Amino acid sequence: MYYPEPVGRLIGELTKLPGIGPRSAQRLAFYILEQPVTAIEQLARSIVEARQKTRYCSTCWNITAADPCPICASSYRDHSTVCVVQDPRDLIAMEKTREYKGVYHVLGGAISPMDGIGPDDIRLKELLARLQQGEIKELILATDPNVEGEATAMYIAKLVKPLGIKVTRIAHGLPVGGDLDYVDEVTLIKALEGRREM
Amino acid sequence: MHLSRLCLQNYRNYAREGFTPHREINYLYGENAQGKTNLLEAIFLLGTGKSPRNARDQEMTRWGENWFRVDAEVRRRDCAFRMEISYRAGTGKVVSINGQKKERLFDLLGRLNVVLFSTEELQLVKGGPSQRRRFLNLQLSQTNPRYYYDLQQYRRVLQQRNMLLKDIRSGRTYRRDELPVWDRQLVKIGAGLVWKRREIVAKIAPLARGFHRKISGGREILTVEYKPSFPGGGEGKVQEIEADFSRALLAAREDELQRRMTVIGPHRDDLLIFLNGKDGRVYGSQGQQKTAALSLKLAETEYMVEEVGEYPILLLDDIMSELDGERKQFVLKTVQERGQIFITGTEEKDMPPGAAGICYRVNQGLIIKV
Repeated sequence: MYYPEPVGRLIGELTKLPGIGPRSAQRLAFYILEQPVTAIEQLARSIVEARQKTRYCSTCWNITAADPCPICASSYRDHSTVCVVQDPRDLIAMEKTREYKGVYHVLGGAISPMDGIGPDDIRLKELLARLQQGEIKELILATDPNVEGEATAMYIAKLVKPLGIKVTRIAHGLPVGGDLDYVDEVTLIKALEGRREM
Repeated sequence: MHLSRLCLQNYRNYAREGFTPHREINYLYGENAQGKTNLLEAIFLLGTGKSPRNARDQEMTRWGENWFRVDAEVRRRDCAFRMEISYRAGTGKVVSINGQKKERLFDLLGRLNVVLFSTEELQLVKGGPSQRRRFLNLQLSQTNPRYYYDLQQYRRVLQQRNMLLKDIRSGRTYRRDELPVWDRQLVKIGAGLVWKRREIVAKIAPLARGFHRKISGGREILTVEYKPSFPGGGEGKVQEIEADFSRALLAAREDELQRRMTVIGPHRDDLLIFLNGKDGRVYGSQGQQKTAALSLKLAETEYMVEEVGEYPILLLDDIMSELDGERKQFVLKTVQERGQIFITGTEEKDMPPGAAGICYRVNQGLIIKV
């Protein structure tokens, strides 16, 4: 090989990361080699600690350092409204709005036969167990607006409706702050379909 | 609408070539394998985002290279813009309009309308149902971006559903209760596709009938009908189509599980073509089938004019050798002086007589004005 053995191994490890190809891996590796050892030790420690000191919240299945997570533990949040999302990144997106005051449930995926993911492979049993405790009044389905997200939302709605809990689906529509004439037709048609009376 | 400039880089056998097409006829001649069809393919690609030959992106890339670019200046009645489609190995195709990169490939649809006449296209009647579905899909996608989006979604649902049917059948999952969520999406999106296809067939059928009558000297009546793969198929509203599709899907359940795939839906529909009341596919002669296909393509052109208010760009790939004198004359008479046309041929002397236009010789990836 062209690289000294430890460097080759580092590049090999980096290539396993999502979105990192051989070229990016090489660039990162050489950057690392040029840094002071202390900086790199700090990086390595951060990686290990981030992995070791986090786990899933046993209530909402978000990534957390403390169980239950700060959101589930908060008395300021509305525990009767649960927003169902596919993964923790979606939760963070919702939190950034600073608008939503309810709690969450992270499914950890969407139903997708092609990927071998069925209803048993996402955290539906856990969701049902939460619902059966009786405190929850509304479920907001915020899965992705694609066919898998839609299938997952429909599946959950069918499962939960008989329990007498209100089930809603987030709207698809126009990005705020843009001009109407810059929006692509498909988004515009979706927004038209989801129009509301004023 | 017309192209006022066209450039190809690393595209098929073109290294780097640009030219300024004539507003009316552009006659391209040359020996085989010099790049005539490739040029027409590039224009088709700008209009539809895909190759008419279903070529993969890497196949469209010049030998030994890993990227290509096709860009054009488009003049429409009410606007002018530049559009570009480029490809790089590993990243895929990217579209930009006036130098601004677009997020999705389908953002290019509807900006440049093209109709292709080629030997393959003239097999429309004789060929299989998939070719006729493609005929409808391409027209609808070019005039209605929502149709294209729905078609993509439908294909995705279909793949997922077929996988689930396989899993259930092979015992990998016993979860039949998961089927309804795919059924509902299949029906909802699928019924919309059927509805739009019916609508376009209703518009195209009388146009095609008119052309066919003229070409056949009034001897033949061409009838075109949309044939859904499920009974009823709702003559009326989209809700009725949904209901019919849904019912048929339930009835087909056991059959689907046996065959491990979705056996009804717009992906199984067809276009029925009758000549004097008889199935043109079975009873039509080669000549009749070709005339019917030609009439449908001319009808497609007129449909585009009605939908977008402008004449689309016509790509006539080697069809002059495919048609006899009379039909050749008819096509030229119908389309000439209405819009921009790109025609390929093998001989310089076959340039349509009396036409305003430019003749080019295409030789080894170079376009030479004659």
